[in-house]
Amino acid sequence: MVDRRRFPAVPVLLISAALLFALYQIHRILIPFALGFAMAYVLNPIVSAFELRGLRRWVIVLMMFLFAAGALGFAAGSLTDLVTTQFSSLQVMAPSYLVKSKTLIAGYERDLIRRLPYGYGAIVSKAIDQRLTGPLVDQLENVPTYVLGLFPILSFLLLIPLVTFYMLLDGPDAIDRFIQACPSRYVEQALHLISEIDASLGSYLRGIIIDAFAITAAAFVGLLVLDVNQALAISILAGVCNFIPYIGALLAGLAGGLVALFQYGNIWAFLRVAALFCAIRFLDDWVLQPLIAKQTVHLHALAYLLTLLIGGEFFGLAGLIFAVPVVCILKALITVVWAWYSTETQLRQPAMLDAAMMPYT
Amino acid sequence: MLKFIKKLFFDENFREKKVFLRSLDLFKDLSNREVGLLAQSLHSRTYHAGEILFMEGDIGRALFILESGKVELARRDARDGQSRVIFTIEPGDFFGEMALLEQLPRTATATATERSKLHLLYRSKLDNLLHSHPRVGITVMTHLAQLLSSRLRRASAFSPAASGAVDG
Repeated sequence: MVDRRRFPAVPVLLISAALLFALYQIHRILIPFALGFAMAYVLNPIVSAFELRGLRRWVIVLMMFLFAAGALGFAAGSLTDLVTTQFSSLQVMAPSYLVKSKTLIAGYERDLIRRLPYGYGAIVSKAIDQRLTGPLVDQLENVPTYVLGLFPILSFLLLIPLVTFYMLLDGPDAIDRFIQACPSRYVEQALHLISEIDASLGSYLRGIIIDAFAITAAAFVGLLVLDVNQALAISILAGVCNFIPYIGALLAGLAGGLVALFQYGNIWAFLRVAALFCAIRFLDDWVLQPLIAKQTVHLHALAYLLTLLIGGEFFGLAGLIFAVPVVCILKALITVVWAWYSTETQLRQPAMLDAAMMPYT
Repeated sequence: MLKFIKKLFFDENFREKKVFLRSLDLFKDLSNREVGLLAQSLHSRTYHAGEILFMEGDIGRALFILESGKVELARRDARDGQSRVIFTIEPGDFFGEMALLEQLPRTATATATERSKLHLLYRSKLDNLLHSHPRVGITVMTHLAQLLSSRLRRASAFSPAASGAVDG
């Protein structure tokens, strides 16, 4: 009899549960590492392409970082004024936008009350104040706080490149070390798992980054055409928000629409920007995403939404960003375990070709 | 000076790995760049003496290329249940190639008899190469088909009655 391997289900489940619990406890610390890992994943094909020419990995990575630093320095020099002007203008304009929004709502309110029978106006006015104006204005006042709340992310700006640098430097050696550490008889399974994760996660990450750049560019051009203030800031926001599936596009469209609404003081400006973001979303969903999705993880739309909801519920913004990549890994894990189980238990038999019955000629 | 710069900037291990791979029949028709692509798709692992690479009956998922050391292939005899060494793999040989075609149970147990360095080519990596660089994939597949044909021809020569072979 041939020795058969039994899947060590209980230890694997216990270790997985302990790992998940530990990850949940320290998930905030892991965010820059996860982002650095994602960045390294995206950049790795460039390093591999140069490595193919025989160059040492550290030389390529160092050159890449020096080039990136130079490019960033140049971009900072030429774009600082533009970005500073736009963000300062947003800061200066925020109070006036607030006043305009109050005036706008008050105008609509007056118009509505005028059309209502006598007596109902006071009730509707009170209800609008309590349920719409109050909360809306409260939220608008909080917008600068929300924007400033994004700035802790800037502290990651130092950590993320560092993590990316070391991960790129390690590259395939890290995988070989992992394989080396695997018990010898599980090496093929480990390779299977790595290949599956690499296939779905790598292409998903590369896909969304290309997508984010495309959306930033499209939004910037569109907002310039519509002559909306803070076009660059809004389009960068649109690109960054694209990392948060579905909700991201809504957030960016809302931000752009509100800026246009306050700038022009009429609802048509808001609708024009909303239409622009709808068009971008449409082009993204129907043209770009299918191109990218060909090589990325295929999740059912409902599973996709459920993933985001669960991620958001447990981990907030980080959950929304990382939910899909984590599902990519889990999907790869399930695929590998199922392939292993089905072949080891011989649930799936290899096909015997009819032509195999013919003699060898 | 030039030699020093070259040594500093260029990866000698990668060059040696390519030279080694090109010495194998399986990859002999590939260009320098194509061998480089293949080298990037391989994973390396060092096995200690006595370590089992895979066992008879395990589902095969990778091709093994022995760079250094020695690996023994043993098969259990159905009559007495004893395991017998059927072949010793030497550096430059490869084995387990059928895993690249079908996920079938291994027909022998592979054990490293001394410290051995092996390169593993996983099936999906070869699939990726087939899609992104068809010439590499096709060359490897052609050599695999030739190897399979040679083995079948050899098996037919040993027992033509059993195989029903009509050797051309």
